Amino acid sequence: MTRERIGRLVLRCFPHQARAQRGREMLDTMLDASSGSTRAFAFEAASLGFAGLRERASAGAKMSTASLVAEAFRRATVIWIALVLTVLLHPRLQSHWRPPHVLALLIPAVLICWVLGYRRAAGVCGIAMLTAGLERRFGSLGGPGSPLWCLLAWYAIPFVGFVLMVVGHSPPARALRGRAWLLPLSAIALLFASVDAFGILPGVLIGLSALTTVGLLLIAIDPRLWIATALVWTATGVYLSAMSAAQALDQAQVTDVAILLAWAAPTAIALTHAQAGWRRRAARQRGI
Amino acid sequence: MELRPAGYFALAAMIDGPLHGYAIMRRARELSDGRVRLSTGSLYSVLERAIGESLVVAGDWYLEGGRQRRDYALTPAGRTALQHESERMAQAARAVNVRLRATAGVQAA
Repeated sequence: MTRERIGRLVLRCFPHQARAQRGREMLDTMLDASSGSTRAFAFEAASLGFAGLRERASAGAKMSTASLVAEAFRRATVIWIALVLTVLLHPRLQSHWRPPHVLALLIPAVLICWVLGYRRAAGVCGIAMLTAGLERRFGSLGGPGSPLWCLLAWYAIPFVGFVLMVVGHSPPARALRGRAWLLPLSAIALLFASVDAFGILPGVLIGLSALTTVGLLLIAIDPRLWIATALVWTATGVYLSAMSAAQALDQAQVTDVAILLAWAAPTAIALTHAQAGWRRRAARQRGI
Repeated sequence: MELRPAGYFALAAMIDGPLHGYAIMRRARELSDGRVRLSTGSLYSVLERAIGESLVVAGDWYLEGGRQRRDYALTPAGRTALQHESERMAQAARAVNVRLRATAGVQAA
């Protein structure tokens, strides 16, 4: 692999905009500064990569907590949709229930529109999907005694997310690479949908745990995926608590875990807010 | 705005006129007698922050020997910041030197 190619890979640590604007210049300067020495090249490449990650992190710190949370809601909605798709594709569910045609069209439509960068269209499809009667199917999961507010807890996040997709600022659609995080999510969803080794709920929770791990690994650079997964955990926790309160589930087994899960999103948002404030103060004090 | 050694010598490198990134790295090393060695990452971090604080302006891109370059120049605010920092350091050095000289005899005794 040539030095230029390694340099191009290292440049990927920078945010897209910085890379497009001054990537070539930085790469050429790095090649000049490290010419003739492998050790100098390794040092320069590491320094450039670290600067890129720091720039990514500072770009996140410049966003207000409200913008971060709004974007996390949109991502949580996409995760939620992928999990719903996983459940619907699961062999055990397929054997005794088929989704109505309108849902079979709208769920993939939401994901495709999102991946292609058409957020408003994804939001409109999503709201149509929610109103098309998906809740009837999930209502039956809670049993006939399931109170309406259990379902509201479960649907609150996707509803807010879809509304934010429609009314919120829509960034210009660009290369699909910006939504690369959807690929591992889709792989996990398909894996759990096609393998019948897990039950439906454990399979979904394992998939969500895997995505949460990815979000935690990226937390210093971009906390939005972590907040998004925390929002889905909170929805799950509130839903399970509500079901437990309605005695549709065994209280002793569910309540403690559910209450812990319900605190996931408030904790993630509070920590991110504190971290952003700390970073802004550090950036002011850091000087030039 | 506090200037740290890397930022101070990066700005000082542009006193004589606009320079491109690699030239700034070499000039900063010369000015500091080799004590400050700017890496590519730290150079562009410094330049981005300096541009954000209007201490430096960036020119247009051009090609030189197949390399993409852009010249960076100090603004009047950048010269002022550099002057304040050099005066602050000179004053700090003077204050310490005065005390060191005053106590040199006492230490020797």
